[in-house]
Amino acid sequence: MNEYLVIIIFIVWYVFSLYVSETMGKTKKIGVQWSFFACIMLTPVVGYIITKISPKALQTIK
Amino acid sequence: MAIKWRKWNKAIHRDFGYLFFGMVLIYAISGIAINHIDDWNPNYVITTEDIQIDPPGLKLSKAEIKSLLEPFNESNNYKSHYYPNDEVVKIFLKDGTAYINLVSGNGLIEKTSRRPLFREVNYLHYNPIKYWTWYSDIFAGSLILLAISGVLIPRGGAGITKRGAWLTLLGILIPAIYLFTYFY
Repeated sequence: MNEYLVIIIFIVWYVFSLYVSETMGKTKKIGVQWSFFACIMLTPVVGYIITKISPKALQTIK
Repeated sequence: MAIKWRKWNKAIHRDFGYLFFGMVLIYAISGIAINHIDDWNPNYVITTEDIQIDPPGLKLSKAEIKSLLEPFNESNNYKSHYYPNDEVVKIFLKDGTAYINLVSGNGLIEKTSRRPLFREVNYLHYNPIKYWTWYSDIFAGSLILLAISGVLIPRGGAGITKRGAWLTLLGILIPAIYLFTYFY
């Protein structure tokens, strides 16, 4: 594995983690922070699955 | 739908700021240490002690040299010795050296100990292994990203088009003026 590949993996890993947590995570019970944590620690794919199966967050009653 | 680039810019700046908090400290601390390398040794603390003993005579045995070191609690630290010239013996100690003039009895014990924190951060600053270089490159790239994303966060009077413009310009001018005066 060379350096460029590692850098690309790092960028892709982070970008997907950020995207999954900020878009899907905030509509789910797991929330943005735990979704991001799951993506960063367990790969964005695993984080995505965890976030996906998490129940929807309750709507705030105005 | 318009891309909310400010939201993503802020998120990236925040995350990379957190992620590389430790790296910024490592490189900043070792940077200061290396800037002043002429004034101190950032890796080791070197202490010296002048000693005076009765002139012991020339060409001593190992046992005699160890006995010379006893008053200074260095006898057990003896490793080896040699004679740079006829009058002086240089003794290698654990974490140090000793010089004794065998004619006058004057001497010096020099002890070296690792300087905590600075030694470790300097080690990392010098890129000791390939994988650390990779991580440092990611950090360096992230600093560029942090700089660009940082100037784009404030808006209005404190933004890059007003107050930010002057300070950013000043920050570029200072190294530019230095380089101009150095090279031309």
